[in-house]
Amino acid sequence: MSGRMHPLLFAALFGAACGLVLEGVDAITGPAVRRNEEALLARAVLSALGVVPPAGAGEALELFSQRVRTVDAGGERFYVLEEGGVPVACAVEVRGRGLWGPMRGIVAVSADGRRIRGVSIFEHSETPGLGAEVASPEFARRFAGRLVRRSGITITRPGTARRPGEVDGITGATVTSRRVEEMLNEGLSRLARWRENLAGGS
Amino acid sequence: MREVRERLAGGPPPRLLVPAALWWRNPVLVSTLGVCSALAVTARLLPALVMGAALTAVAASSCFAVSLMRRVIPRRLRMMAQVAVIGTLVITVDSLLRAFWFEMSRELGPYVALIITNCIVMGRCESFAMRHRPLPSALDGAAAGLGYALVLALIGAVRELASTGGVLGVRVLPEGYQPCLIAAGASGAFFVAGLLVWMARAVSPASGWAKAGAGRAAEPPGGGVG
Repeated sequence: MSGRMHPLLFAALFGAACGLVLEGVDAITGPAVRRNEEALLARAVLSALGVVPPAGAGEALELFSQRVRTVDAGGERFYVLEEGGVPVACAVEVRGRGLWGPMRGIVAVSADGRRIRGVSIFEHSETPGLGAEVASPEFARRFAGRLVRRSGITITRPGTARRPGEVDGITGATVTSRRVEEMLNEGLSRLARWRENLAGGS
Repeated sequence: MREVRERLAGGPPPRLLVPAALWWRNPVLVSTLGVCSALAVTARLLPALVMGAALTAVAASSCFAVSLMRRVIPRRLRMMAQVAVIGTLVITVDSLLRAFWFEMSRELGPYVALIITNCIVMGRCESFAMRHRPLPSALDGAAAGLGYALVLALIGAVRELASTGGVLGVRVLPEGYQPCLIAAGASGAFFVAGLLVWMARAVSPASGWAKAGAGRAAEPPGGGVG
């Protein structure tokens, strides 16, 4: 084949060819990609609820479906962990604005709503080595068992958390710590509203 | 003299393509192309290696594909055709990564998808693949990709070593080493990349860099820090 094609003919044929290739790629990789994304969320929910998630995507999804009941209420999805048919903790997804980009996480409270069960931030673009610590297990552990006050929790300056409901922030990541606090408190208030509605409705 | 001969001949002979791209025609060190991702994904060595491999695969395959179509592409559409080829291949690589190495894909963030805008790939397509047969074009693309990958690996290794005291997660420096956190951040990337360019130019044969640098004017459009 020599001689250049007419631009319109070329654009039509070539565009169709590229589209076909991409359709093929999506058919091959799409299911695995969607499964990986589901497993990412499932793993975050499990770890916020205090269940150590397994490494593999399949295992994490299986454990999630065994242990966690999802409840859709008022356009939101809540995750309930039950032990022997009794709810022990519930969780909700939180989204917020980090220093460099959006953050997503899960916050979980105990069944009575008074204490934080766990926190897990699974999507962020905070500064590596500083704000990125929000995703570390060490940071998540600081929240477990903390009292939830009417106003939620407070993330303090690093090393100064003393009173109930206070959690140490991250050194060198003041803005990130504050944004995490806002994001978690917003989730905590949604969890509290949901629990009130449940109590009122029953 | 080597550079003058090369420029007259339109590039180094095939057997010198890889060493040339790794060293005296290195796309990052000499042409300062692809610097954005070279800074962004090099906080640790492993993601830097994966990014280098991804770019090499995209560059080789898109140069091959563009060269196959070089006599058919209408002149006015050639850039669009190149971008479409590169875009298709980049999405393919990105999807494979997201399907089969999800953690790495999340660590690299948007930078694999941003290979579409990487000037190295399009530069090789436009300046070489449009005028040469498919196999030499693929080799030329792969060589440019390897030059990029080499620089990323060096920056990644230095930054990971400085910020964690180890390489590829294996501890190298003694336990008492105080991690240099700045090396993990964006400013650390600038310092390491700048030092690397300076050192590479300082130790290279005197003739090479000056002429290669002067030859930038003769490089194809698409220069800059893409």
